Amino acid sequence: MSIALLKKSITIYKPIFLWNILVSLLTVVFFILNGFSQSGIYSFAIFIKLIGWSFSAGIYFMFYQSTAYFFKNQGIGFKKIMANMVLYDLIILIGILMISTICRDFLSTVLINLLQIEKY
Amino acid sequence: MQGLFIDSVNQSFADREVLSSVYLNCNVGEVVGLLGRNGSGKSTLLKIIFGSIKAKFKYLNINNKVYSKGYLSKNLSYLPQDKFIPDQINVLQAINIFCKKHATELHRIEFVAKHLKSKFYDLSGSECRFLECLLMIYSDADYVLLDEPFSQLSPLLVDEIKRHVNLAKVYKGFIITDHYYKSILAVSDRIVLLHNKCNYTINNEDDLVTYGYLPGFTA
Repeated sequence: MSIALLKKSITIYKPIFLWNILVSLLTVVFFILNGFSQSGIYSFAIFIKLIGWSFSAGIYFMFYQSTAYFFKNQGIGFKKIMANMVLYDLIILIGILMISTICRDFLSTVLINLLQIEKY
Repeated sequence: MQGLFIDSVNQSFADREVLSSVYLNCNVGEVVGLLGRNGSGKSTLLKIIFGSIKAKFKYLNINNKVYSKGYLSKNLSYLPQDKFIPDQINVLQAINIFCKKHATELHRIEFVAKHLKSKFYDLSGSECRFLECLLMIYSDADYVLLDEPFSQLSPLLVDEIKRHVNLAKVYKGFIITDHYYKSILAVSDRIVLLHNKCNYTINNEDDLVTYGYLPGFTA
């Protein structure tokens, strides 16, 4: 894991990073809505995250074709980039989950209120 | 054995054999010119050395270490035929990524100094090509593979590239291929011709006629 590689990856794959963070946020919403106690919602959240990862792996690969020599000239291959991306994303997901667990009461109140406003 | 050394390269595409038992070496301090007709396998050979194409068989040794892919040595730079630096990177960022050791040499070049803050997106095709050439010439790697570095460049820029190759070869080894054979002959210490799937050492321009690379041979 390297911070320099993270910086370069963010510069080049910015849209994919944002996509992964959005999927992580969506996943966390399910956890906040009592996902831990309801196995169905919990499984669905994990499923969304896995689908998100497989989509982003495909998109990374498409982007990688045009930037392959940029990374290979630094001695970095596709597998290393992918491994790093998934690792960073996992760290971000765990971070969001931890923060949301700490602020769970607040977030669940806000989310339920927001959902009720939408309903009416 | 210090140096870049590739031996027994065999490669074919579908049923067509492109390279057969090809051998090439390059040491620090020399420029090896690689010539050949269209489709003779020049670019394929460079890609095999760099590791972006997998050969049927090859033996690659860089500074006494065997590699399956040259780029894994982190001591090999490759300038492909197409643009390879992403548009969103600026020139200064590219210098900091590829040329940490020789950044001062690059900053001294007027064109580079003028465009340090420019993103590659803002530059013309030939300006991008010129900058990519310079970045690879002054990269941190000991060995540099340049695939058609003179294409898209005006004669003045071609001379500029040749001058920088000569300056940098003191501490680097270069393998250059291009169809501007006169420029290749001028800049190279040694010429290798790819012909009939094999490599031939070229001693003078007459050899190029003999092997059918240049017109004029009558049997």
